[in-house]
Amino acid sequence: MKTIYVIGERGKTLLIYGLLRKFSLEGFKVAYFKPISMARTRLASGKYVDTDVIAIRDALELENAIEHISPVVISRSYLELSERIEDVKKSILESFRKISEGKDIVIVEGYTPAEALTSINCSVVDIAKMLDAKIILVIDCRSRAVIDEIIDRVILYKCFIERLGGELYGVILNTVSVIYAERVKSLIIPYLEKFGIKVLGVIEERPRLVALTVKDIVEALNAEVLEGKDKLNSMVEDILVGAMSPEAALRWFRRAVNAAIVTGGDRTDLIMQALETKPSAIILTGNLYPSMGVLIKAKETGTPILLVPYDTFTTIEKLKEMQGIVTADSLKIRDKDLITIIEKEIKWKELLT
Amino acid sequence: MDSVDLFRPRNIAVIGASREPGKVGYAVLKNIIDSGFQGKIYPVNPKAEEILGIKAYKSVLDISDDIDLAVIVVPASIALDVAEECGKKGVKYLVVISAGFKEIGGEGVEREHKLISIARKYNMRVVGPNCLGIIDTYTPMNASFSAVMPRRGGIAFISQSGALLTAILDWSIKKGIGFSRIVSLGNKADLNEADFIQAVEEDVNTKVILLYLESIDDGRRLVEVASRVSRKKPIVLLKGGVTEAGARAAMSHTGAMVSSIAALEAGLRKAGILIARSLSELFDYATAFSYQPIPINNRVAIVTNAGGPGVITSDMIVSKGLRLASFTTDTIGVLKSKLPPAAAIYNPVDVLGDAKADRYGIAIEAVLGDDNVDGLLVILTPQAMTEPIETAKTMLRLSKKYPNKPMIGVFIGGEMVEEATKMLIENGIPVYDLPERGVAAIYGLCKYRENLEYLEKILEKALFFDVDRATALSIINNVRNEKRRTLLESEAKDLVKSYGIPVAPTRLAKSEEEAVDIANKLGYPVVLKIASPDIVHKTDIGGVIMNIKTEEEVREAFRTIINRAYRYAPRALIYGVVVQKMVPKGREVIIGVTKDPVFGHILMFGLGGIYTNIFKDVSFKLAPLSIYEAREMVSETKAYTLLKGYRGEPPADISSVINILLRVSQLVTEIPDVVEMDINPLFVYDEGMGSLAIDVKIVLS
Repeated sequence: MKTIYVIGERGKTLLIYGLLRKFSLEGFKVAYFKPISMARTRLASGKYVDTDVIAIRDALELENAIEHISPVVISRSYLELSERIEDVKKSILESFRKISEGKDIVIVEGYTPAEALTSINCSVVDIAKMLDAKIILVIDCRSRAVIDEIIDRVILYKCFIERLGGELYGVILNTVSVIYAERVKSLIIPYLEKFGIKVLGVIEERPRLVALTVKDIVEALNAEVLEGKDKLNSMVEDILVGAMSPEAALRWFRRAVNAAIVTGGDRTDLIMQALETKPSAIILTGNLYPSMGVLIKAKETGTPILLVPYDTFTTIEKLKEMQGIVTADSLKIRDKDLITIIEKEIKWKELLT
Repeated sequence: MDSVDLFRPRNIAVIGASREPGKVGYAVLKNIIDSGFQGKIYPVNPKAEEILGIKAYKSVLDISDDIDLAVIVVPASIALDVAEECGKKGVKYLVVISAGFKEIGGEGVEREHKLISIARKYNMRVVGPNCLGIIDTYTPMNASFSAVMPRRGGIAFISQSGALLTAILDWSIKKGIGFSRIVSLGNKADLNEADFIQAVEEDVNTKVILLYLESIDDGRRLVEVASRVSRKKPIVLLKGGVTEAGARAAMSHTGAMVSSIAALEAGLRKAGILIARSLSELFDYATAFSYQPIPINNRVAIVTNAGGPGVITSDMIVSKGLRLASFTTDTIGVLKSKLPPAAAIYNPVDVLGDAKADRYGIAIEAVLGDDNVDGLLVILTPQAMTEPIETAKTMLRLSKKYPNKPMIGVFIGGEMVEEATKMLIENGIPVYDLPERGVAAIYGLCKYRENLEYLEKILEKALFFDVDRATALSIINNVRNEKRRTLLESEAKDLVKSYGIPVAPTRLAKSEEEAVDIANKLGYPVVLKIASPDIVHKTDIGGVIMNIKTEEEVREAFRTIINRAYRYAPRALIYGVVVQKMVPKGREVIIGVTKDPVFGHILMFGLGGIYTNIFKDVSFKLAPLSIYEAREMVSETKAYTLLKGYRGEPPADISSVINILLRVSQLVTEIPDVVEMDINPLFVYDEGMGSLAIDVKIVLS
């Protein structure tokens, strides 16, 4: 059995999903494990979980229980764990054994930032050793003002890992903007290699690679679906507020791709303009039921109409909070794209050696 | 439409005919019988042997004859089955009166779609559903549930509102107004206004077409059909929903597509359709058109027996853009010698309060014989000596003598003028009770003549052959492949360039090195702008840096712009920056295009920069533009004053602007995927120096 431990910056979940899909297409039995995660949502049972864990588990239809995939969930602080850190580690190992039973490849997702919990003797290296995993570092290249900084960041992590007695197997450079693509290839990669760092892949920047689906929004906003119940699988990549004159609105709506348009149910003129541009969904706020004309047109164009009780501002705030959350649906919709990225931009075979 | 004429069917089946008075199925059958329809009538009702003395059939399939027209009045729930049977029977036309379709939403929408697919399958055409029916007074045929059969006349009335139709038919009987055809459009699931305009195009009985519409389904087709039919007979439209509030009401009512008001006006102008602003105007135009000739020019004479109304009417004529005729010296001589000394012999001619019919006759004859007069308003106020009926007779006689000049009566008063009014209307001279209505009627006649001239002028098309459509399409394909709707500035410029529109040289740089390279090639100074389909307002995020003079400055600007973009538009996809050569400033104008959901591409022209928003000084025209329209776009805006050269400035290259307008029009016509396009600004240089597009934005559907 091979265990790959993916640590580092933004983009890990999508990468891991892609890798797991690719490996299982290659015929391997795969498992996913996130030893330490951050509480981001609360289940009906009152338990805190990480949304990434639910997304991957549901998208891949893994049969393992969430508490085994994600044995330790941190909500606010972790220093308290130091007193019983050996028990914590033991429970991680036990869970790992359960989920890895009978599998060929397990991909482990690290906590962000990667250095966390070193203070309480539970560093990435400790866990990697315990699980016998090779460490892969993901670096987010987009959030750098000076792209060259990424070299030093990788060196920093390499030193950190080695100081703790571990080994950095390789690095994946994520979200590389087209304007730096050439520099990364011709200058940065050779530099990294000079320091003995293997570059396992360069992933091009793709904003809005995954986005919420209309269904995700329906669930999150507790919306009533007035029309288009069978069209909830489309993605919502953009959110627009309709509060302008109808003529100006058309210009904005047309520019947006896969948008959710948020407006009041009484703005018939705006809604009709919005329906012209085939958005992913129209969200009507304030529980204002739209006119018959709107529903007729929505039915004809196959556009979901969602009715929510919140005012427009609250709706937008709620939607903003949700951006960046990965859901099972959003992964499944982009399944092919994510696999293609792995095939084209990652030396995935090298991960198996 | 088809070889069988919807308005002249050989026979009619009434499906859902009823024996019970008060039911629609009864009213329709009775109307058809009472209208004197000469063909066979087949009531269909599974439970009746005979209705209103006519043998009834269980199903349309039981009738041995081929059926031309079936009127469906059954409940919506079984309407589809009935339609299917009609299809099997080979019926040519369905008039679906039944309600319960799209107008109720939900299942009704699906039912309507199914109705149409049944119709298509069997090659049937459908009026309605949810309509009142159709009437032809000459066939004669009243296949509707209207309570009245209108009088015969020259007006074809096509209405989207059934209730309005019934009200107007009732009113028309009292007023003596006659119709050739009546069409209730209903939901317009298949046949719409354009089809019916076409259907009356060659109808000899129809002199004028009246439309009441709340929505226009296919604006392009309406313009195409109406611009042709308008050359033969006037089309007058009263459009519901021309204000934002009205439009909202119309949308809520019909669920129709929305078009902007600018697009509607541009479309109607191109179609030669006259716009009525009120119901009374609609019918005032209609009565004028159905009886009176079209004047050859807009010089109007007034003959009145009272000074006050003459003065008011003069004001109204001039304020409508018509002219008061100036008589020839011959006419003035005749009037002076034959009218009393106190009479006013210049226009308006005041025959004085004591004028009897003979004095009216002298004045009317003199004025109508004058070559400087194109049309006449006769004003009559009932005074002690006035002879309304005799005067009316005189008017009728002289109207026949001068058949090419329209004569319109304004008889102000009540009972004293009632009989004379009725006599004139019934004999073909429209009479109104107030001056404004009379003026509106003659204005309508003049306006139609103007529209006819305009339709001639816009026939001349421009077509450029030096365009590179293949390049344009490959740019679009590229954008589509990346699943984008918005073109980068460099792509948009390449696209318009392929249509022969000159642009300031611009190229996309994907890296700092490339930017330097391009800047060196283009020559300094240059402008750098952020290249991202997600950033519309580049300057708002500091994404534009101008007047860059050295390689070092290019590098610095490149980094600054990229960093600002990352900071202020973190979700935007950055393609790099575009490097554009700085060009000398010209006079700034805008050329824009937007694709209206109903009327298609609308071109916009106006002053550029901040003036666009301040003055709202813009001209809108429907694409494709004729040469005349392109010129008109430039000359009807205030930008024209600026371009002609204001206060000693040399004139700008106006012909280059017209040329670009025509090329833009051709571009969007040949590449309909473009839904938004802006050339803003276009720098216009002095005459002979051309114009340059400085920024171009394009959005695809």
